Amino acid sequence: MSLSAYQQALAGLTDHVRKKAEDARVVLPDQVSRNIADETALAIADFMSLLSQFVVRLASGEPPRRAWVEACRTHKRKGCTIHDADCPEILGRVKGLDDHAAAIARASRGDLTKEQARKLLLKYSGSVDLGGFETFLREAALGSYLVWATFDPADFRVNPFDRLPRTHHGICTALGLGHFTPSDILIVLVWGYADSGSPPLHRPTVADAEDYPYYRPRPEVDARWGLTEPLSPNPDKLSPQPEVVMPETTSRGLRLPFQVVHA
Amino acid sequence: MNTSISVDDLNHEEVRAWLERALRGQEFLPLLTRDEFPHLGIARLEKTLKPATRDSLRDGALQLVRQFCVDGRGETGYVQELLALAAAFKQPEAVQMLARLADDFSDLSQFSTEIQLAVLAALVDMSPPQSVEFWVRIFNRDPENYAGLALSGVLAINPARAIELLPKMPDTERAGQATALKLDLAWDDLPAGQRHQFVWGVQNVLGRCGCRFVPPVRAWADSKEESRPTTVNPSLLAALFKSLGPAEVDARWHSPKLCSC
Repeated sequence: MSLSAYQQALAGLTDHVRKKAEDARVVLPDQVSRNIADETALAIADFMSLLSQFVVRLASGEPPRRAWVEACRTHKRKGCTIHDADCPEILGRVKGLDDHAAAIARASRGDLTKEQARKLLLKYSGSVDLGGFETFLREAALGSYLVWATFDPADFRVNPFDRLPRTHHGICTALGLGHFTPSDILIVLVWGYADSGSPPLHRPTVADAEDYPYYRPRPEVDARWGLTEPLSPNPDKLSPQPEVVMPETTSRGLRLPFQVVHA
Repeated sequence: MNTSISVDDLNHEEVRAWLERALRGQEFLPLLTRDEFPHLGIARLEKTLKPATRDSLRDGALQLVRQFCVDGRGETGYVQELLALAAAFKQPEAVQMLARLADDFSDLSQFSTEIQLAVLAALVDMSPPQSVEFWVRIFNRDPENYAGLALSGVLAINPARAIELLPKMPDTERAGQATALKLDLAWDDLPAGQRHQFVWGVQNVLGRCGCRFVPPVRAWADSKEESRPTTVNPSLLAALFKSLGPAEVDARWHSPKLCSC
């Protein structure tokens, strides 16, 4: 039986580093520890570098979880890049309403506060005529640092949320967003790949996910994108959704309307 | 095995140190998505903590705000997170400290414009609100940078007084767009009986506003007039149509003298 990517990366390390990395991995949260062992999307050299960095940070006295997260932050977007011609034309994501309101407020440079942005998002949800709000909406980042996005694998040209349930619960289940509770209002954002500047799209890795417990490494080594794990219970048998990561970008390519979804 | 230390296990001083790291995104937080702003995760976590830890966390936030007000220390991202958390915690002491700081901005060169705007934006959203006089002072100090937030501050407590500020707003389309949005939100919050007067008050000052600022605001005011039901004063409208004809009525419709409400 061939070695996993993790085992291959360990094998490339010195005995000392290998032991420290393995000892520290098993004290991370169980799911994070499993994700590291099951990762397939990192090149062996990147995986070795990630584990070495993890050990260096442990040696400097950082607790394991923080050491892991910090090591991950120096290894972002190392998964394979999807060739430009093969990129989905339409991408989408879900955020918390308050999170996006804060993003709009910060991008507005004092023109709107977070509370104002929040009220405007609620007011214009589902509308294609946003008036002056469109200026401020398009300046906001789609996400911070690293954007996780989904798409429709059957048809790259369509809104990926068209094939998902419209409900709060259904969307969270399909995308594996386990931290959302019914009291957390979510917002669905959809954008054009080219209109947003054709940022590089990568298959996500465990380094992109850091210690996020709902990430699941895809077993297929050669897959071009990752897959979510729908939350359990999944009464509608929703299938895993594709996921990619991309660098932070503005909402200039946003497709209207956006949707605010309550539980 | 999971050796993560719970915040509930930390002592008072350790909670503050934890908070400082958490605001920088260096601690585990219950984030809805992997890139959510840390202050939202901290506010969410706070609800699940033991009462004593919660007190320590809130006290820690207050101490960090006090420290920021004294030395202005901290990179922009950290300060934005701290201020957003202070707003979420709704601590009156934090509001007082930030208001005093904002009053002294002109003497405090260590604060970048970005941070000054973050302080003012937090004050707009925080309770208790600042007085009209406070916001007018801020407005007059640097209209180019502060006008938008000062207008928001006045609109939140006295929409009629906010109208007086419109002629002094920066003459840009962007300022006009933002103002139109704020006027609309203020209009939503007004009792129905005061809305029309508010719109007319805005229309009456537009002649004194900058030419680039006016179009978005006028468009907003016109949209509110168009959306008014024609039954507001049906007998007057019918009489006008009879004596003047529809074109003339339309031309005069926006004159405040024709409206009885």
